[in-house]
Amino acid sequence: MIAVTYPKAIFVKPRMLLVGVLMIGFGASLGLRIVLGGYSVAQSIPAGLAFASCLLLLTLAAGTRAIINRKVVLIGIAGGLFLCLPAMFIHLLGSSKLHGGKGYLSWAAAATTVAFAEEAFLRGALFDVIKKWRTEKEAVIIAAILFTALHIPLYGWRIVPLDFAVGIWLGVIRSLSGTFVASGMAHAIADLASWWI
Amino acid sequence: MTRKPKTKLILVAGLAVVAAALINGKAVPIYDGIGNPDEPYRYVSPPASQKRSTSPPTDAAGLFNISDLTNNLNGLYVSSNETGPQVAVNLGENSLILSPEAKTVDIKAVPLAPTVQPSDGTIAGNVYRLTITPNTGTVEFRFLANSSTSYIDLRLPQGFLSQPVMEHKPVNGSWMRVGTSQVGNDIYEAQLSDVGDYALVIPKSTVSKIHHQHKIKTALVIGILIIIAAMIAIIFVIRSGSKKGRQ
Repeated sequence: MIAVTYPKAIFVKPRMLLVGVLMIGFGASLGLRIVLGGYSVAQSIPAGLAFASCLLLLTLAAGTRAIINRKVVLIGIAGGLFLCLPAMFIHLLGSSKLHGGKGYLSWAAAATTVAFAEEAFLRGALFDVIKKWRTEKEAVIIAAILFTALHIPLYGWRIVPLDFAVGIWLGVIRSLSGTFVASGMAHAIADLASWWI
Repeated sequence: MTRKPKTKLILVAGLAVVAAALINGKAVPIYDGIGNPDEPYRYVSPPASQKRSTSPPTDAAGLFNISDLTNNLNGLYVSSNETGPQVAVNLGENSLILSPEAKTVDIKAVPLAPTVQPSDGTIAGNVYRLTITPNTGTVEFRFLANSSTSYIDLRLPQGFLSQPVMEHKPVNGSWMRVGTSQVGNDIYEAQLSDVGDYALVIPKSTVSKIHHQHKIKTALVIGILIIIAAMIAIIFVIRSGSKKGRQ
């Protein structure tokens, strides 16, 4: 049997390849959501859950692990509450009508699943690979760009500044806590609050 | 990242969120997940395939002083009470010609069951009859070039796969298409230039395309799932290759 010894440089390439593969997987998952959701893609729960399932499978394949401890939970809650502040302020100034409670639980379960799946993929699997391949800052920025791009087909171009800023904020939370669980919590809190504010 | 740059980054990111939220000026959708769902469409007379909604559809109505219309850059806005509204009407500043004696104007968009279908398609949802009634005298629309502040928005009921167009039926007239733009996930808008009936219509030409579109959709879904499965397999191969390389 011949023993093959790989030069060190060859192991740098798999990370780049992994980033490429993860991005193709992400694009395909988003495509699936758009095709399934049709004209009401932003409001389609089945399309959102199919998208979330694909992202979670890609994340699991990448071997991303969740870390949960008190620090992570505190950072996640604080980050989420901060995200709610501007929306609450705008809501208090405006005259938009409040949603009733009907249908909240099923919607909340789906919204939380999608939020955590997005975070597990963007600020979990992809973040880890980019951080190892390049730097943490680049991981924050690339994840924020993809986070923004993901929402354009759903809500239009007007959300670009807000979603990019929020993407950076969630990246900072990920960076501070060391895990996507905190950014997932912050993301889920902001989404769940959006029903009421 | 060291502690100091992190504090700086938190401040910068936080300020960016606040600034972007204020520029965006709208709370929902905030950041993502799934957009808050609309309640099921409320039909006046539901088609056979739809269940009757528990509540009837509501009017979009408002009684305004004339000064509200002449000294108001945003114009007058009325919408129905569903979540989200099935109809909304906005009349721009100075968009109406009213008698000098008129003091108030009553704006109403009332839901009706479709009775006469247009020749070029099928009505999706209710017909909305727009009436504008001053307390005295008559009313006419003033033609304002490039004005986009007088419009009607209609929500498309759930379950329609094709793009609708808005049609208008003047009093004692027949249905005709009006320029339509999609302004939300399922909200379609047309400029107002007359009172009368407004409805969303699925054009006949697109009805025949639905079957074909369904086939394309199925093929696309299968293709995308194959790509995702391939990417997952490649990830496993890369990871196992890296592990072997390290050993």
